Amino acid sequence: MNTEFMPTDLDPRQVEREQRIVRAVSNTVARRRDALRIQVPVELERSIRISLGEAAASNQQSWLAGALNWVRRPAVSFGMAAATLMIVVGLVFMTQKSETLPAEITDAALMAFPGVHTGSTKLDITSADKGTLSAYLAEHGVGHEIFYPEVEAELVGANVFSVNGLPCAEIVYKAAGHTIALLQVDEKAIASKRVELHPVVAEDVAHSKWHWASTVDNGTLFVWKSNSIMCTVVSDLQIDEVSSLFRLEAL
Amino acid sequence: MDDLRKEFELEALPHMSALYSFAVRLTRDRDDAADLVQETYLKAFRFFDKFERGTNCKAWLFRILKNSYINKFRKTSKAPDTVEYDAIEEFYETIRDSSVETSVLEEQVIDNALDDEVAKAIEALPEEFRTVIILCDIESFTYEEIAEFIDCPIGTVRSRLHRARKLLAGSLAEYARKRGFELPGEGKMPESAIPERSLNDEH
Repeated sequence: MNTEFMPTDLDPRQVEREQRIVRAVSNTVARRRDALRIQVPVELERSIRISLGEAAASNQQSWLAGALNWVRRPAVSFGMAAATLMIVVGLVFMTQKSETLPAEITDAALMAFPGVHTGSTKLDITSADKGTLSAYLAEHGVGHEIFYPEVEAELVGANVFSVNGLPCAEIVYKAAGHTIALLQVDEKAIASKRVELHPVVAEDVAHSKWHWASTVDNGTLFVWKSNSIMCTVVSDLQIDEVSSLFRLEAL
Repeated sequence: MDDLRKEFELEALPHMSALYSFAVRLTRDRDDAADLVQETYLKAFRFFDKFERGTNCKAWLFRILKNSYINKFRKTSKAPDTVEYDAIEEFYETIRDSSVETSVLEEQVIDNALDDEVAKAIEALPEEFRTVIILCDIESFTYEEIAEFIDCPIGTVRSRLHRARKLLAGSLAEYARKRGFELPGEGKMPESAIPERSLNDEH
């Protein structure tokens, strides 16, 4: 500690008076709590309520719910319904990622993550072999070379997600039960505006090499560019934990 | 889904005014604040199944808003201060109070501040001080909740609050002076607002 300005004595009256003033400020602000609140614009409140209604409706009207309702129709015979159900169940596994994710890459990665982490979204392919994964991803419409960063975690498989209609690869790692999902998007798709990257994130990546942020659940969002691939990691691990797993200098 | 939405609306929407006020003071722009609040509610609804029922929904919403704010508006988040540094600073602030205008204030001057003056004084504070004042004195969050929100030890929260309130006291003194109150020695300061020792007495 620098003791250059350390006083030799403390005036208790002065300290007491300062405490009194600080308390008075606190009370003054607290008493004006209601007056200090800024009125929410009516349009904003209305817009939020509408957005919530739309979000709820879009979840409610998922294609699976529609399919199940159709199966339940009395006009459909039992045998037909059973067969349809089997097809639907098969489709759940085959095409559950066919629902397109939003065009903004970080939103897409964040939206895709919970299902991958909990296991409710099954991996399209389970393998630790990079060649196998790359071949699968190429066969399913991913048009760029897949980047496998050096991560102190186990490569467990990959998914193909549709981001605004564009097939994008997500490779998935596991470390002690935690998930590290890496969504990869060809830079050309951003340049052509087929998909978007939030300008603040893009600026960070351009000027600081990467963008780190905590997610709502204290997880991590980590974005960087490797050659021409924009890489977006979402993990349930915290930022310092994620950064310790990656060989950052090699990214 | 309807039940979930109803539950969400009951739990989360009453905090809209608090969130919007905080967002306006954070961004200093009403349009940005509106975007931030809208995004906060949509994210919160999306992740509402993860919200632990019975815990503080308002604190949860504020955390989502802060994360959105960092993602949208701040390029880098500041590394958390260490409690030791702040404790030392607080110590110096306490013993050096004669160097700021708070030493010439009394509670009456502060009590008599106008709402508008208090609002302006808060808005003029640097972000880290503005945040703790709003969360503590306006939104009534606990020190623990604020510490979690700003990702700092509780000691840092206390220290920042103390410093923020001193800065506010200085600003309110300035407003009071403009309204006709004068510093000791100038003759117009109400008797009860004159401190026991004026700034000049200290030197």
